[in-house]
Amino acid sequence: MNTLSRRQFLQSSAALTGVSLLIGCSSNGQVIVQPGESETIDNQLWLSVASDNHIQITVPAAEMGQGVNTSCAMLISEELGCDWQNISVKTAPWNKAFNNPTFRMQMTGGSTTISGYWKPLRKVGATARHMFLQAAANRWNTDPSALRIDNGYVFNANGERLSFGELVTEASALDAPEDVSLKPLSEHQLIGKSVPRMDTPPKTEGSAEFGIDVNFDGLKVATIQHAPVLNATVDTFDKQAALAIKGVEDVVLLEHAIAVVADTYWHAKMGIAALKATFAGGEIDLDDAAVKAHLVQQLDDEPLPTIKGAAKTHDFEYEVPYLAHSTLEPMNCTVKLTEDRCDIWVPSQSQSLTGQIAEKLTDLKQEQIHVHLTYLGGGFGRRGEIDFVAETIEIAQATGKPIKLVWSREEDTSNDFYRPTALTRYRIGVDEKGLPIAWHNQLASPSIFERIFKLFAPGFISWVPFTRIIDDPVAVEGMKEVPYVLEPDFEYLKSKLPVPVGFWRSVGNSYSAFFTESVIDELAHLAGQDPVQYRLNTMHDERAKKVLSTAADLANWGRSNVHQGVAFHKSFGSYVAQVVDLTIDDNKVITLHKVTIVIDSGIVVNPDTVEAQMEGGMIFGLVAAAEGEINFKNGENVQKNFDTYPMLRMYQTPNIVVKLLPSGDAPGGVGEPATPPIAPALTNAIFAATGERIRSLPIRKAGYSIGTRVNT
Amino acid sequence: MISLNVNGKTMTVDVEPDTPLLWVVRENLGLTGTKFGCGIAQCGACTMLINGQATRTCVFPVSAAEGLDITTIEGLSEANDHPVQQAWQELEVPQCGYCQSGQILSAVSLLSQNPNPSDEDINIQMMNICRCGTYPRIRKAVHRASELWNNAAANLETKGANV
Repeated sequence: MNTLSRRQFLQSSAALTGVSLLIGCSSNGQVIVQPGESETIDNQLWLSVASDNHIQITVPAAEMGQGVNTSCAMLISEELGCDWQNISVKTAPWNKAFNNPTFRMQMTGGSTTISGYWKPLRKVGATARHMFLQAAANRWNTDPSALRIDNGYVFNANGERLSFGELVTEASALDAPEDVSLKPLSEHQLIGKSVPRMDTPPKTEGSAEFGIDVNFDGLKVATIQHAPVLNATVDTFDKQAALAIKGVEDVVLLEHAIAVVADTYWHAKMGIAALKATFAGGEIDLDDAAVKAHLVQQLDDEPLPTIKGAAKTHDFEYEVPYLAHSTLEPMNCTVKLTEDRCDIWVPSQSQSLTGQIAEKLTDLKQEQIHVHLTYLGGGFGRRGEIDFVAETIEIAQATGKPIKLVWSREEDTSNDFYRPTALTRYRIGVDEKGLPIAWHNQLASPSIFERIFKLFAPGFISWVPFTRIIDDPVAVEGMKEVPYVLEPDFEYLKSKLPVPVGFWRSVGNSYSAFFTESVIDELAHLAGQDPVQYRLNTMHDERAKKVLSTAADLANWGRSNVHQGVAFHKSFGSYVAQVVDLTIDDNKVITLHKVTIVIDSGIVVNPDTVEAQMEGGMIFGLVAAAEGEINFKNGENVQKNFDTYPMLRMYQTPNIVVKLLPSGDAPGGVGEPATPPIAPALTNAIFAATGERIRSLPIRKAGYSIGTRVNT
Repeated sequence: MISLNVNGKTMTVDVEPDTPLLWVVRENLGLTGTKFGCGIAQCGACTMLINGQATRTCVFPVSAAEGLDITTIEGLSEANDHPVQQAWQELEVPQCGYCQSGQILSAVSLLSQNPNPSDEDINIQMMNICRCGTYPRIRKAVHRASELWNNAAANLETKGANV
């Protein structure tokens, strides 16, 4: 759905739960639902207002902690003018009526939920508002312009009022208005105010249902062991030993894995141990040295050009490792499959991809496949993949039983689509003042899009023009364009490595910010200039300058009694600057005093949610910068669980100061933009403290660790 | 058969004695508020209170829990209004929420032994992983829960004196 035209709207009086005003949207631009066909409309329903004033809003995106249940409801509620207390939300089924216009499919990613649905959701609310106004105007025999709406009531000039519930019968008999007008920003009452999240209460009482919690009569639990070596296959296994375990019912062999089905997870896990499976083949020659050698060779094959006419030329080389997502809820999925129906309960970032893989693996049609999103115990891009959905369907097919597949933590870490490794070289020519006049940059890194393109070609062609897929827009983001040079000479060299790579919170920005903001910091120091002033002198974008200078002021830049590092990065339509305050002892143990974060994300819908995403997004990047590294040895990943792939803990997490600088006439993303700048802000601060420039992450490779924070 | 005292109720389960308490509570008793994160007592998503002490139950054999008082997130309060839950709501702590049952019970354990914890005390006791990075809010919420809990206790004492 790109725009909601009049013909796309539909309304009906539903017979299910009394009379309601139902606002939906057909996928083909036609009004398809007539009264009585409430089954059909239910699949495409965005909003229903019942005669008891209860309002149900369908949230098109997945709730994975970023607060979209609340912020999406806010967009509809703002235009509708309803009583916030009467709203409940549900997550959208698989139906293209709910496609995110950014992707032309249902995908919660790229920090696009608010920016993508910004107009459609408000139009849904506004359409209902106009219909209630018209219904009340008809009742009072007046003009809608003489009426106003407040908190779920329509008021007339005499102070009389009618609730939405009292008007639903008449409103739902009206034609939907042609072209509804949206409130001007200046009249917003809800958007821009911090609203308590709807998912908070269930998450403090343990009642929020995650994928791993799904249960019903007859459901069996499976767990799985994948070949530990990349692309290896199962060789031998003792099926009888597994079946001898109490509760174990089936052993299912898959292409690169073996699964055990039992009455409980624990029995299935015992079954996996009893199998004593062995594996053969695969990429046994793959290790860190081979990966690095490949990247180096790519760059060596394409030497950077010689720069003429510069006062000085500087060369830099930077690198980052593979990273795991490590959502705290391990991958899982529940499938109930019959001859004519497939139900999938899954913590997924994409109803579309989930439904499409079921369509591909079964003989069922879309209308027979029902995707039910649960809460996600973390997403970060990992749950935009459907490998674990496919496995669950295959196990359900092989056994004929409803299956909940739950991965162990070790399987989760070992079978990730990792954040790509990357190696980059810069050759930068500067003038007498040390300012860049020539900027040559090459990046060697595997392409996420190459795999995605093969898997989902049709959908992705409609999303990204073919020429851009070849280029891989996410591999080059934050490097092809940089804030400090108008026309960087940038070249992307696509690496051919067997390690699966995927979308990891902030994607290409997760390394490009580290590269660009480290290099610009090096240039500032080489020029003998203050790193903030040097950036401000070379930036072209006024919003960027304002964000950076605000962060510097807020952090008391240049006047602090501790060491400071700064970084700025624009991503997902938002501008973020961060300043790290730290001290370092003789054992390279870092004490983090404070991180200051300033964001201009355009229009802000729920400020407290944005602040939470700034805190959490920064910490996500900090964990990676400090500790994150997936190594390979003999074709197998070395780190398997949190003992070897550590997460930062409370005692290490710094005080955080967040300032929002709302602007503009459109919202930017907030889920990812706080992640990229922290690595360079941290390493730039380490340089300020020690004179040691870290050009390879994580910092622990250089002997640094994050110690106990400064307490307030 | 193993007899367990969970959230004030006695329940019997037919499981192998070395089954981790986490899986017995989740799968045999159907209380899914407690989560599975790592299976090696690293992350704390599986935290329950055993005799009031925060305990990582993914490595705690069910046989060792016999005769002990087990509290899960479902048993913390009737109406989602324990002072720690109230503080968590007030400060909008959860993001994805997956770790928060464990975080809340860890905070309950800390505050019941130390009603006025310093930041240093919180550093030492609150060691569960939050992948979303809600740590700054958890810290604030522990302090706020301390206030709420102490006020509630003071109110109870005042009421008691009036009787």
